[in-house]
Amino acid sequence: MTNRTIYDLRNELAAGQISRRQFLKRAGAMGISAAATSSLLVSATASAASRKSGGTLRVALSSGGQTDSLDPTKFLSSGDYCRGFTIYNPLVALDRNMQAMPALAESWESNANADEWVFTLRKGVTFSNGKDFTSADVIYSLQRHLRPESESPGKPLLEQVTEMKADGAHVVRMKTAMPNADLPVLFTQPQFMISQEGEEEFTNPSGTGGFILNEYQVGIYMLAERNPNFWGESYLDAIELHTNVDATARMNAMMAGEYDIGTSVDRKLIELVDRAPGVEVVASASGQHTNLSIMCDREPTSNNDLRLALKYSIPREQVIQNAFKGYGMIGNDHQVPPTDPFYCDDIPQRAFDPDKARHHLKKSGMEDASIILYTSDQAVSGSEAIALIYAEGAKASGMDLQVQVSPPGSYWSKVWMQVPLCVSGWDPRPTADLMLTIANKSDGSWNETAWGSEHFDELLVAARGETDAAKRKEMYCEMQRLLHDTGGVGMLGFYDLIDSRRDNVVGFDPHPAGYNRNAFFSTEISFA
Amino acid sequence: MFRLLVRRVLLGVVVTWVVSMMIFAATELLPGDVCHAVLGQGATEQSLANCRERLQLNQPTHTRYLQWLGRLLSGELGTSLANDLKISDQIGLRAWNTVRLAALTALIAVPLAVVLGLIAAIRAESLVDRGISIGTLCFISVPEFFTGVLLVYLLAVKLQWMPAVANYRNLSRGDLSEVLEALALPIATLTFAVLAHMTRMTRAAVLNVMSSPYIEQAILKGASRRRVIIRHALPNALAPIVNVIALNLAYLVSGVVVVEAIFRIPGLGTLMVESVIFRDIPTVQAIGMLFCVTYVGFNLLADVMAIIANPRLRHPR
Repeated sequence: MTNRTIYDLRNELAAGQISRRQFLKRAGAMGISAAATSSLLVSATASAASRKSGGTLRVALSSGGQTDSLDPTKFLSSGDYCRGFTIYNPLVALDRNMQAMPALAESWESNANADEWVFTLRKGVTFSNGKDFTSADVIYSLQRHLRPESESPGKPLLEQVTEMKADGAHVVRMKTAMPNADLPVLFTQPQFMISQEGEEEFTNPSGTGGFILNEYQVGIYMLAERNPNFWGESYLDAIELHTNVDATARMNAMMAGEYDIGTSVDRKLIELVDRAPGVEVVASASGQHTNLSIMCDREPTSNNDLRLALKYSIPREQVIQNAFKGYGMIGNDHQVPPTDPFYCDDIPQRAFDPDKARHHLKKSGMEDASIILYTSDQAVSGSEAIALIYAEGAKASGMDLQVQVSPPGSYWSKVWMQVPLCVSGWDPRPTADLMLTIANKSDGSWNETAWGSEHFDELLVAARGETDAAKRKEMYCEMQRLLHDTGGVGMLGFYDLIDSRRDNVVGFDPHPAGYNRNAFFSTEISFA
Repeated sequence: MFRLLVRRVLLGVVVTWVVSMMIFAATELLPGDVCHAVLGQGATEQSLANCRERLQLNQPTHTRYLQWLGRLLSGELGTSLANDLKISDQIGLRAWNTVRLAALTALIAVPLAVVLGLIAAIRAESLVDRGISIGTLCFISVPEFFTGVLLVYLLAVKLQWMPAVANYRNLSRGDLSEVLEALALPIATLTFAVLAHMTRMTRAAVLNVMSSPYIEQAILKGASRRRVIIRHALPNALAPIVNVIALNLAYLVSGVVVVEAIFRIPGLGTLMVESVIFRDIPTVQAIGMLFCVTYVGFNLLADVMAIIANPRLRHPR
């Protein structure tokens, strides 16, 4: 009930009616004013000193179970990330503009080539057992991922760091195999939180975070209490993290007042939760998306005019309104979301345009081709409804398009990257580089549209090593333009991460990477 | 009578052994392996190989069965594949929650069911009887997740009298009143679910005995209907009633996954489901065996009770 207008604004942004800077400015202002009656106002405007301290925050986590761990090298679920960020800190945090910001590393710099890095660590930080935090802890925590027996999801990411050594107690030097201007963002990954040198058991680990572990039951519950020696600011006395994976039970308890924060609201429950007294929906615009995967290497979709016809047939607004209940943003046929610092404002927004679609369809000479769009709800949540909306759009363009629902078990192995046209989707990646690389690089194993452009590949590598921000942005713009004009991505829509809070919770604000990737989520929160 | 008991116990052991083989075979048949399930999308060839080596998944099935049975008999349940914690500790913690919920439910449901069943038998074919029948049948006809969610909606979300989920802190550290508050709705839900079965069986068993000649004798003697039923009919109707009660008690221990999920009670059912999801086979097997032993145990108990209640079995010729 509070956030609707902000979505209109975002669609204006996506439609090119306002610039990204204007959007951020106005969205900030709007998010606050729209929620003037609630505590959001306090959250955004009150200075830290005037925030109320104390209270125990009760959070319902939507994922977790028997594989939960307090060992960062074993973090797999959003529940793990959340518990981790409560008791540990990473070197670098992701801010709300998806930029790297200091956490345990106070500052960092690289050589012009972006392959040699110096991280300067914060001084005067102590672990909860009283020991000082030094570069030895950083080296130890990161090296644990690289052990031969390591099963860490962070291992392949960290392997690009070829050399890592301490230079005194508060400086860490690193070399990378290839230039990478995004290296600091790598250390925002939850797996790279810093634990204490020598820690192996993780039954009662010490951290530098805002809270100190008090009680922990695998798959059930964690209680952490305020760390009086925390190096930053925090407000709460204690935080309880309850694992509650059942979407309905979680929201029932939220509405009954048993939790202060209920993470991950099922799309079907959004309106119900939003209407409930005392509960607010918190929507974070993010890079997660659902898209048409149009394969460029096989008939009939190897024809770019047919691909353009397919892209002009997407009823973008309708997908957002109907399938995403208004909680989403239209896209511009590449995977970089408007929330990303490298999003390109200069490319005109492609709209739903049956006339243009008809024009390109005619040009392709395939007016009579019958096309099948494959989809599966289990593989891509909500995609069957989206496919039906799309089919109406394609019909308006004079296309003969049939929707085929596939068995869920084999969707990713038998349908995706096999058939010319199917619905696909991606979780958000922390940088434009990671997203563009994984889904579009011509030799990538998940290059789902089999689109290959040498120029694109060169740009991708060059941009990764470019340290001049303006030049870098230009390169990313060029890549987005290439995808927009000739690629196989038909962007059906970016959709929001939806969570909920009681109306007396302050500081649980939207974050494009999700609350569970916000290193400071637990210390930002207070009660009104 | 002693030989009869020994035979029952031996039979129970055999059943348990057969079930152990079935559990092991069934868990072997689960598709996918634990390493894939644990590591998920981020799995690489190297990390998969490391994981399989660590868990000794490369040995033949029969070797692993014998090793497993041996460890089981020595009470050594091993460590969970999912989190390296001791399975016995995990089960101990969860079993306490499950058993407590089952015991509190039984404490209310069993006497209530027997009393309702007797009332229905005493007033057979009357309005009261019909009311009890229709009421309990209605409750057994709707699934637990519906009763549970309905109770949550009415008593927790709308009226806010009761908590919607069982708060872990209250469950683990609370005093009796806090535990009861946390468990009130789950107990109510489960009571509705098991009531009908026991009530109907009590009524049917008692009425069945009521047609025997010796009951006619008692009636002709001039005893009141209440006295005839409670003093004369009930003792002989006890065996089938006890059997049904035993089955329902076993169900309360092993079959309450849905109620545990709705109210977020960390019990054995949810542990079982999570372990299946993560292919944590040792935990699945251990809980499977625990459920098996529970069923066999309660049935054994029911048999013993039936033998004690029945003079013909108590003093065999």
